[in-house]
Amino acid sequence: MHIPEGYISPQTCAVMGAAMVPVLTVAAKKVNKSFDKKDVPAMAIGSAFAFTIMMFNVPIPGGTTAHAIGATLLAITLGPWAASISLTIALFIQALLFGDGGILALGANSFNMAFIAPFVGYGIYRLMLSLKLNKVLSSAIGGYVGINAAALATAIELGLQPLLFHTANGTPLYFPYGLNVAIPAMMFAHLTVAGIVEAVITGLVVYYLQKVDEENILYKFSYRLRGDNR
Amino acid sequence: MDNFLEKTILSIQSVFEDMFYSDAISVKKGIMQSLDTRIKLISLFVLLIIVNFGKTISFMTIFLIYTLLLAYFSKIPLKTYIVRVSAVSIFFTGIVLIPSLFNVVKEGQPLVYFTKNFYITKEGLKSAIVFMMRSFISLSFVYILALSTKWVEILKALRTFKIPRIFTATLEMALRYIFLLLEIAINMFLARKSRNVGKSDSSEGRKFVASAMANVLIRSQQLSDDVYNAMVSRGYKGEYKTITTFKITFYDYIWIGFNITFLSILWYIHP
Repeated sequence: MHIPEGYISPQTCAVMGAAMVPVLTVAAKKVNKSFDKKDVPAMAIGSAFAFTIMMFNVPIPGGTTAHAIGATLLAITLGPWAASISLTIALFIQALLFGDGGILALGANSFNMAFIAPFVGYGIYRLMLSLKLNKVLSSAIGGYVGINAAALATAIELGLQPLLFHTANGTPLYFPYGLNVAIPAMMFAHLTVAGIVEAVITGLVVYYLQKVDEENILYKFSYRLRGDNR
Repeated sequence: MDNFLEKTILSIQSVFEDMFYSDAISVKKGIMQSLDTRIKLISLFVLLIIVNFGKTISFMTIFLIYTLLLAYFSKIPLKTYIVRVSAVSIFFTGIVLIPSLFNVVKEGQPLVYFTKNFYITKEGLKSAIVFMMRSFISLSFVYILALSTKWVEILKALRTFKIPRIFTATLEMALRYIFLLLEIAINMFLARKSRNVGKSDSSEGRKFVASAMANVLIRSQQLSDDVYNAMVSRGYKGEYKTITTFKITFYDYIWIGFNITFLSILWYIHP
C-alpha cells in the first residue's frame, strides 16, 4: 500500500505531511500524559514490532503470499495514539533505509497507514466489542475495516492527481488514473485479498494470545490510556 | 506450500545484507561520504523536491545524468544500484503505466495503432517516460543517501533539527531493536522450515505466521521491560542526553556552491 516516490505531486505530499503534524502533535501530548517513563521503550519496540511483522509473508490460497500491516493489532496493544507514532517511525525507517515508499511521500503514507488504519481499525474494534462480539472477531473486523479505509484513502490521494495536476492540454503529470479507475482497482484488491489477510492474521494473533494466556499484553497500555486500572 | 517460509527468511536476510552493504559503502572515500550529514540531508531533500516538480524529458535527463555521476563519484557499485532502483521505478511503475499509454485513458495524438480506435498516444508515452524517470531519480537520491551515510550519523543529524524528543528517541531505540526482533523472527522461521516434512496447507501456514507474530509481540513486551530496567540502571531519568559533534568542512562549501550554480544554470536554460 506504500505510495512510491514520484507518484503524487510535491503539493499533495506537502498537504499530507501538514495533515500529519497535528495528529503527531496530539499523539505526542497524549502519550506524554498517559504513559509512564517505563512505557517509552514499549513504543520504540512497538515500532520495531510493526516493522518486523510487515516482513512476514502470509500464505494465501492459490499458492502466493501477501503481507499484513498489523496497524489494528498495534492500536489495540498500544492504544491508537501511541500506535500512530510507532507506525510513523516504522514507515520512516522503511523509507530512509530501504527506499520503500519515499521521503516526500512519507506524509501521505503515514496518513494512510499510521493514522487512518490504526484509528479506524481501533474504532471498529471498540464498536464491535460494545456490540458484545468476542475479542477475536472484533479485532478481525477491526483489521479488515482499518486496512480498507487506508486503501480507500490511498486510492483517493492517487486518483485526485490527474484531476489536480496536469499540463495545459490535460496530460496528467503524476499518477495518470482518475478516481474512477484508482478506487475500484485499489478497493478490489483490498476488499478481496489484503483485507481478509489482515483480518485473519489479526484475529489469529488475538486468538493465540488468549490461548497461551498472555492476553493482558493486548490491553496493558490501552487500559491505562483510557484511565482504567487493570 | 513452504515457500512463505523461504520468502520471509530471504526478505529478513536481505535487510541484514542491506545494512552490511551500506556499512561497507559508507566508509569509502567518495563525494557524498565526505559531506556533513546535515548538509547532505537538507540538500538531497531540496533536490528531491525540485525533481518532483520537473515536467519534461530534457529536465529529467539532466537530473538522471546528475544522479548517475553522483553515484559514480560516491563509489556506489553502479550495476547493483541501477538494478535495485529500477525494480520499483522502471518495472513496477512500467506495468502500472501500461494502460495510460492508450487513448482509452486519455485522448491524444496517435502514435502506434493497434486498431482504429485503440492506439498508443504520443502524450501518454511522453508522460509515462517522464514519470518513470522522475521515479528513478527520486529513488536514486534516497538510495545514494542511505548507502553513503551510516545510520548513526543520520540519527545524529535528525537530532540537530528541531524534531520533538519523543520521535527521535523512539526512532533511535526502534532502529536498534528492529535487528533483535528480526533475528528472533528469522530463527523462528528457520526452525519451522527445518522441521517441515511433507506438505502443509496454507491455512496451517497462516496459523503459524499468526502465532509467530503473537510470539514476537510477547517477547517484545518482555524486552521492553528489560530495556527499561537496563536504561534505569544506566541512569535514565526520563530524559535523553546525547552528544552530537558535527563540523562543516571545506567540502561542504564546495558542494553547496556547486549545487547552487548547477540549479541556477538549470533555472536559466530550462525555466
